Amino acid sequence: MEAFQFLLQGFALAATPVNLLFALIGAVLGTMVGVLPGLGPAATISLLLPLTYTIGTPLTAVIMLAGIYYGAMYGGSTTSILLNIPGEAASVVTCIDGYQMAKQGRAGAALAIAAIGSFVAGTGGVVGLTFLAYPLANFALKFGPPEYFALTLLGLLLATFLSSGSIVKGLLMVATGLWLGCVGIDPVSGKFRFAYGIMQLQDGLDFVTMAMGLFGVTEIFLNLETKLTAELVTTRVGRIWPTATDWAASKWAVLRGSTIGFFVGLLPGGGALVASLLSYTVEKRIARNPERFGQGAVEGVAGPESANNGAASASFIPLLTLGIPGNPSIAMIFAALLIQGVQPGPFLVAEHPDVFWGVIASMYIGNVMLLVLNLPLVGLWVQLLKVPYSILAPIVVLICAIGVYSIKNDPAEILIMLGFGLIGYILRKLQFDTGPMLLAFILGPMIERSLRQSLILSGGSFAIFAQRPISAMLLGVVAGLIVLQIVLATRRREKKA
Amino acid sequence: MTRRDGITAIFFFLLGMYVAWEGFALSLGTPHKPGPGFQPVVLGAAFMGLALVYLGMAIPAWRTAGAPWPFRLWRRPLLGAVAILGYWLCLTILGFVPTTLLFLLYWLGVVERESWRRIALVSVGATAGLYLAFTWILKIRLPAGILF
Repeated sequence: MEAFQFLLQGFALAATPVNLLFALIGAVLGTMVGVLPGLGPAATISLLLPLTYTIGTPLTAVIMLAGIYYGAMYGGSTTSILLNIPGEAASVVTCIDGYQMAKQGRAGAALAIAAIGSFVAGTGGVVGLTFLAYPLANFALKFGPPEYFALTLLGLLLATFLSSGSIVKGLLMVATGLWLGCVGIDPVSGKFRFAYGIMQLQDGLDFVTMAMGLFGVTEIFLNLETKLTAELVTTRVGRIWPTATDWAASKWAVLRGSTIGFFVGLLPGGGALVASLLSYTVEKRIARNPERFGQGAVEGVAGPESANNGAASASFIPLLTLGIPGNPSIAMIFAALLIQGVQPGPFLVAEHPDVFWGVIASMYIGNVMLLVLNLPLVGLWVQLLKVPYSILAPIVVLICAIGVYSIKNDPAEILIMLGFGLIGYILRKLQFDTGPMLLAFILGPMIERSLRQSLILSGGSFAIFAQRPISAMLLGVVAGLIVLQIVLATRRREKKA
Repeated sequence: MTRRDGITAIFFFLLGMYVAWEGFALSLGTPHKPGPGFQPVVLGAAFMGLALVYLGMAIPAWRTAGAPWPFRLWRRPLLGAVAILGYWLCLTILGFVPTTLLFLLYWLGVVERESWRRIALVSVGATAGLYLAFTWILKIRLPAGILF
């Protein structure tokens, strides 16, 4: 009941004309980047991070960035269905059946089911966020440095285990991110670390510059390898309201996808991609005629599209309550809050209730906006697909360059961004996922601070982590996860042999 | 796993050695009061340990060359990187408008090989649009250049 009252206050804040406008801007931009292949939500949020310096309040900034994040989840399905190219990573599985539906002349039904599923899951996720976030934040108030150390370690490990590719490579990326987080002045001793007398490094590396390099510039370089060309199945979407048969087939898939998405989204690293893949697997496994999958099964669109939106909403829970960003897009929103002088975590609800409840309320409004934007305006988004990527790419690079320049009015940031762009490109070519690196970079100072504070508290004894029940339990889960991964890797090797 | 993975593992091992060495130089401190070098030393050890595991996985595949990465594949990314480097070099000297115009002319002409008509239209239009967006809407102070 208490949460409901706070939520009403949140609605009063989110419904101001300025916040509604920025929610709409976020939803439109998010849908655009979701529709346009080659520019994901993380890259777009990183593009707009410098803008948050000029936006008046933290609430307005986060409302816009959150709109981009879940808007991209909505828009991603359009390209998957009409072009067989995922607009963003989480819509990869939608290509399988969505494109087949479009080829059969059912593009409208596929787009509508995707939008309605996204709305149901997105709103369901926000309901979960409303009622779970407050008690969880209150519980997290009991956390001290040892608990925070254990929690961030668990978050980083989960993000690595659930990221794509090899776990050893993921852990190397975590170590790299933690190392880059050390660059600059040590907050305890005041000594410079890895700064080499370079002024730009003495303050530490800037998160926005790093994110724009690793996500914006790297993505452009990767897309430059091949010409992004694809044929639209149709520019006429036709009837968008699904048939009764489509409804009957997809209603349970939407609910299952929403539930899977919500629980996967709660886990660090368990982003929208993992949720949509899991949902597709579940739908195919429980289907009476699994052979329909891949031939245009509507459940193959309804489940994954609901799951990726459910996950997007749920991933705000660890951010707002524990201060742990679970994926790169959420890490950008974490950075935006820090830029505005707001520390995400259990104290957020007490210190900035306006931000906490305003963001949650804006997500209800944003989901309604997105449903309106995605269903009747689908024809408009289809037209957007006609903008050649060759024109879009240099403009994105320019926005990145001026964005990083504007942080400190220093052209050297452009050079650092290019450096990270090239590093990201090489790492992606070597099949490293750079997501864990960015998460580790942002969580690195928190890990170091909590570890050093814990050791100071205990008089230098590492036993403090085992003596406190919450940290002991969390570290137990960490140990369990490591053992599980070793067992799974050994089994895989035995199977191969 | 390919030979490339083995070489990458060796790189990370060397990086770990360097990070740990720098950490020792910064002072490790004591368990009671960890110094600024404490985390780098732990990270250096982690780098080396993980790199050894990675190398162990890559050694059996040392003779496998991996997917080819010919020049034609990274030619355009390289040209794109040159464009950004040029933008960094020219921005403070020439200022935002001429540098952005040159950048777009180069990118659309050399990297994307668009038609002259499209190059001219997009370069001028995008430069004007970006200038207005950055200065009027976002109120960002753009470099005017030493010539102006």
